[in-house]
Amino acid sequence: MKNENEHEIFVHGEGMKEPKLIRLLKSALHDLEKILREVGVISGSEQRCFFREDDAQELDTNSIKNHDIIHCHRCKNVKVSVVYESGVKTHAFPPSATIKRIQKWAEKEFGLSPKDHVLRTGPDGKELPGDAHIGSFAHFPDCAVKLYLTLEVLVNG
Amino acid sequence: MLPDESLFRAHLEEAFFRVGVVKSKWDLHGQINWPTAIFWCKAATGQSEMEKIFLRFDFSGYPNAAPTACPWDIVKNQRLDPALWPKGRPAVDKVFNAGWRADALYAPCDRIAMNGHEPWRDQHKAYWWTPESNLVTYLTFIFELLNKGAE
Repeated sequence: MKNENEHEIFVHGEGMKEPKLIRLLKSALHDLEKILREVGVISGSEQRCFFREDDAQELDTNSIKNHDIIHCHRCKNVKVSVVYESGVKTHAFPPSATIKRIQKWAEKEFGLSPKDHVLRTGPDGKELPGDAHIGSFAHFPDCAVKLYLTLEVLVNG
Repeated sequence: MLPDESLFRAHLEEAFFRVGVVKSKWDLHGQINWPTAIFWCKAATGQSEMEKIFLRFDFSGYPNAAPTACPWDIVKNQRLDPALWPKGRPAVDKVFNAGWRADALYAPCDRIAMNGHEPWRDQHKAYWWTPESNLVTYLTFIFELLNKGAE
């Protein structure tokens, strides 16, 4: 049970398939990176950047609020290339950018209807859910991800 | 409490479920009456007459066995009248198809629909139920289906 001196936050990060629920004292927000190392969410010595979901500005961890959804990553930006048919569009997003936001950008770039497509990790790869963070698929020092925009496959047969 | 119910209840406390609750995407409705439980899932305007669709799940054998679910009328405590099932995009009509069955959804994570549909394993990799799946696999499939293109 959460106590009133604590915040519950959801942390996404490099290589993480799912967010991690972290409970920490409000007075310990400035130590977030250290706490995430202690609980095994991050490893290695490189410094992490923190972002709120879909926010391009780096986050001052002292400003974190209860139930914030954040992303910690070694990359400050992720170069996202989206392939659709024979075309490719590229743009830099913060690691905390959601797949939903990137799909909207890609559909606009390719002039497509916003309802009938999905982003995948490969031409026949897994469909990515809208709430996934692009940073979860990007690794330092490349800081780049290639995605494929395809028509939604109907459940048939 | 048997291991399947114990693991199910533990998953309700995990970030992958809780983050959807915080975002008002889904939540448990009422009490768990193992192996059944009712969840609601947000449904975007235009794809359902309701803002939420309630689904009654049977989680027998969780998580080794896939669950099965059907739209539920929480007032009458019975299956939802098929006339009120979500409809709109072709993808929605395929899954919410009472003409196929009124007690299950035509989904790659529903144990009744999975039966005889092995090609879905490759066609719907993210949602084909495996023992590593969890209730959020099913809820995410429904949420993405009913909220595609919504703000």
